Amino acid sequence: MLPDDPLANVLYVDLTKKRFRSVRREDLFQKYLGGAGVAAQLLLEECPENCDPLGPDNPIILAVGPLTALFPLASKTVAFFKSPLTGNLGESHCGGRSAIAIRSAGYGAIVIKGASATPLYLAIHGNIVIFRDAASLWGMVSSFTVGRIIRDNETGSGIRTIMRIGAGENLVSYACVTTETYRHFGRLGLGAVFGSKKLKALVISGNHSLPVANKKDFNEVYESIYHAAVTSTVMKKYHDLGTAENINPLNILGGLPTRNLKEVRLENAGDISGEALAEHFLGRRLACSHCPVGCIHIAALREPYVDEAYFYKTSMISYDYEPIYALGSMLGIADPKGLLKIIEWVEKWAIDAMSAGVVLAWATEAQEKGLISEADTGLKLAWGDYETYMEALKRIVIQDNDLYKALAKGLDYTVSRYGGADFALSFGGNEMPGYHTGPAAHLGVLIGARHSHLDNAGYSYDQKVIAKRMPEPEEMVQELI
Amino acid sequence: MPAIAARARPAWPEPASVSILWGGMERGFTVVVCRACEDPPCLKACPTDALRPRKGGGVLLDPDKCLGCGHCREACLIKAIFWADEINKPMICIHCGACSKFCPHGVLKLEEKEVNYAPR
Repeated sequence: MLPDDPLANVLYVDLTKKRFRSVRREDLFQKYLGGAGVAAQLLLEECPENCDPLGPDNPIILAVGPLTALFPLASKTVAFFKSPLTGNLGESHCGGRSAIAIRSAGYGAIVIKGASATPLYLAIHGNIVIFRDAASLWGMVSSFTVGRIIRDNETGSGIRTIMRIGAGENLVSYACVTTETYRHFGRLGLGAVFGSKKLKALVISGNHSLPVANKKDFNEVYESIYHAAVTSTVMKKYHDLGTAENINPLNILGGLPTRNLKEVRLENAGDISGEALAEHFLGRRLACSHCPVGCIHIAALREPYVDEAYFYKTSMISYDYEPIYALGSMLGIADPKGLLKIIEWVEKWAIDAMSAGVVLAWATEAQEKGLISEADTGLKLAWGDYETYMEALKRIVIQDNDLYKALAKGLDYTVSRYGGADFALSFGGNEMPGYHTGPAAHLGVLIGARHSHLDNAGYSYDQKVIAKRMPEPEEMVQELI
Repeated sequence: MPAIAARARPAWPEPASVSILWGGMERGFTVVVCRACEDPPCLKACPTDALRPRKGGGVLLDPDKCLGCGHCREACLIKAIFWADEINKPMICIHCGACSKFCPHGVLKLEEKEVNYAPR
């Protein structure tokens, strides 16, 4: 890091007192590796032991690293917080324009503490920080609309990101934070932490340029990274069909969790595969700011109006492997249009698609087994019935009875009240990701600090190594840690 | 790679003179870059003669003469003049073609053309 790099600026915001200050923290950025290293240290400094995840003391820490905005691919922001879902480490990563916007605004990290008594949103335009009244946005359901309104009301120049919540207002433990319509701090409930602070949204923009020691060398390194990224076969799966490419191979392997993992293959999985979605629905592909990969796959879903002939609406819906697993195979939905509708529904309410799907899958099996009744759900949950699942999701957000209040707190809480732990698919309080590939996947998620498949990519080890030979246990554990 | 990624590269370590001005992730983007007008309105709007015709198209900025008044930016109908806030001067495209190197779909490309500037 060069001495005049704005990366070392940490912005501290207090939502209770409506105050902010920027502090030069070269100590942090010289010592710890990347945004995640800095954010981990800031969490240690700012998050008191035993603090309530939904209390004012829980900090929201957003951080980027020294490579962000200077080199391609370094396009993600990391969020650290105490998770309201697990009561443990909350760590979630998000792309869109978030990382570049924070760097352009002149910061390496932003720490948000305290809680507002009334709804507000925070506008950070370079060194100007404004607490804006969000009374007219609170309770607004569609995160699309909230994004539009803020975009029209904020004049900040340069690169801009808009982060906002939906179900987080109602403190759903796995509510997410959505940025730029289609990217998310998806897992572990950052949306609920925003909601507990009455923070509806966060807009960050800036025009800061960054120092470079030697411009000629910089250009050379830049170009070599860029060309490696666009020609690498490692990136091909993200670039072409996207992560949805995994549906068919995992289904063949018997690794696609289906109907609450009662089964490992979904009949007609081909209809919701990356290949089928690309052929019939893919309408646009996009990249996050400063990433040449272009992995964002957006389906165009054309639906007729029910009451009038030749009137249509066309929705643009982002899909990836995990939502297809959680809201598709896990719920027995193989109708691609139904799947896209429920994905859009989850996007609109801004909930973690993975937790939402796993929670609904548990509820369906619990209803089948008679552990909960139709009197509890008010609905007849049935595999494949996406319309009923959409209604159930709405009731999880609204929380209009004891069961839905429990489901909104996640599976671990729900089974502590209703039982059914033996078919509750969560690890350390976090609902399972979509990989039933073998022992490394499950062990990896279990021992990972945030119980995510991305902690150690055990699913990848299963497919690469265990598919061919069974390694010694020590060898597998070594790989995972 | 969609057009949005073209923005990032030239923007750092310096402000850019090509950008994505219109659109969003839902409906797509439009990239805006200087068209090298034959009779450039920006040049005519400059009160200090800081802008002069560039051989091969476009205009060149003499930053020493520029006061940062912003008239050139207002004169540009397609909004292809961007701004370097840190020095309060316009970012004028020099038609170097660097952005086109990072545009895999050929949305951006550099071509030479004959220009006959109107006499001033």
